[in-house]
Amino acid sequence: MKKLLGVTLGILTAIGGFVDIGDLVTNALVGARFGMHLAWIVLVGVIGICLYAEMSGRVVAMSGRPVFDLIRERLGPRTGLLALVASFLVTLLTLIAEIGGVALAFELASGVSYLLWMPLAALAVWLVIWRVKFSRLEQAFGLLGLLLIVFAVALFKLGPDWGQLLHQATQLHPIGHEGWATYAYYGIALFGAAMTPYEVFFFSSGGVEEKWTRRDLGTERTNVFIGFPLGGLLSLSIMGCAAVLFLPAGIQVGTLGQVALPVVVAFGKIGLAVVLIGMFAATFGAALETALSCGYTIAQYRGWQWGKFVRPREASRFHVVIIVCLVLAVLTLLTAVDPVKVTEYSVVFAAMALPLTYLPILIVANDPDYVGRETNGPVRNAVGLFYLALLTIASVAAIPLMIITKAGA
Amino acid sequence: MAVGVLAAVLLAGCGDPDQKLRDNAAQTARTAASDVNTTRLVVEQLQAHRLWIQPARRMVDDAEKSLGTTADSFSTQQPSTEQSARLYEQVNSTLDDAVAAVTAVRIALGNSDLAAAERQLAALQLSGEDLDQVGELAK
Repeated sequence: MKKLLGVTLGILTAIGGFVDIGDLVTNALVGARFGMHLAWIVLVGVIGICLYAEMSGRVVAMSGRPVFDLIRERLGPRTGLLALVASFLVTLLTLIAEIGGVALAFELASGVSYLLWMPLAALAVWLVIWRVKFSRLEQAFGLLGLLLIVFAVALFKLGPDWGQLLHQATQLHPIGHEGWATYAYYGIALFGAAMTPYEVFFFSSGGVEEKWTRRDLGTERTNVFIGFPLGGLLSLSIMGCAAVLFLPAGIQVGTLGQVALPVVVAFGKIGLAVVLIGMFAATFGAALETALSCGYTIAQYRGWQWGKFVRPREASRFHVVIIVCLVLAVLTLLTAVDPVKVTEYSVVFAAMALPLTYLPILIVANDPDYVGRETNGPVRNAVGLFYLALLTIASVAAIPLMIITKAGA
Repeated sequence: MAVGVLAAVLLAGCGDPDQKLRDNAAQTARTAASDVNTTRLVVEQLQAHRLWIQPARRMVDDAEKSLGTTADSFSTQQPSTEQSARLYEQVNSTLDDAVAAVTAVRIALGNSDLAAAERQLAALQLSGEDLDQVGELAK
């Protein structure tokens, strides 16, 4: 019974923790401009993140060591450094976007400018990381993030023509005034949002924090293969709400307030309250994850003591990295840069860094020195390589498409 | 590679100026229509008591800022023929109407005057339709 409860809790946490500011903004933006014509990218992204999250979780469960530690050891300091720099910068950019997202959620609720909320949000992130246990922190915000299921319920309440939505989802081409370049650009953004590198680092480092062993492989796989796809359905429901309400009205999504509007139309003030708490939980939870991931990647690469399973005093450099990253996030946002724009760029840059993040994981997951007999089978390797090719195409095409489309304008 | 990039840049600069302005006007109108329609949706939700005034103010503020940026950006265009000058005037006038309607809503909400905001619904509807028409120019 206790085991079942643990598995259920893990799945619910994975669902609630799947959606962050990148998913909220990108899915709503894409739904408003393309309807469900890019929904297939979410499906491709979810399969990809399941594949590689399972690999990294397995590496941790079998070796008891975090992925970045092994990347450096297996591939050498230079290649490891390349992967570190790319992943760290993207995670830092994502952290900036998440802190901005928390502040924007508070701004919507209170009317007080997000510039005032943002230092408080960063301080709260630091305090929670400093004081709260890893498992509590992960579960509390993951479960609270489940409130975003209100998007799925709102989609039913808006009474869409389901046949039309399904028809859109099966038509893989741009619509109206949109060209192929813009379609491809937002496809890459959605892919980047679904496969953000920090998700894998947080997932695998979390495995070390929670002392996974071979016996936890089943739980790990259940969380990944049930929790993440259900999280993907949540992303699709955000896209669906935007497709139903905004596409016919010619509304393009550029603010967090607009993302929440379909829920307001469906459920009024109560719906708004629920969605704002859900948005806060999703962005705050992701801010914790990205801040921790910044610390994890650098500390693991450098071989420093890290993690929340030791006292902060014993992992002082790990905590200093987190504090520096939070300060950098606040300073960046204080320039009054639009957090939603930062989010849009962060998912595209995430797409650029994807091969550097996932190739080393594929290599380590095939090394019996680390995973024993649990190396990838031929099917997993074939799918892994196929995804690596996709990631490389997305990575190479991201910047040219950003220039050609003027960042999707 | 370099020759290709140069050719692309030159071709981009040598397009029909009327067509370029039409494309720009259409794009501008679609972006502006989005802000106008967002404002209208927000006011309708307020009218139906489905939204608190605080988040509504925030959403309309955002829409007004975005609309202002869009209108300012279009006004810097350089019409080079009589036909494009007429289009330029028409689009600027439509954008001015849209900005005026959204600003009126923002002021009304700032004063917690819901009745005044609701009175702008017709103007927002009209602006949205005008912008939709301009948005179809590039087709």
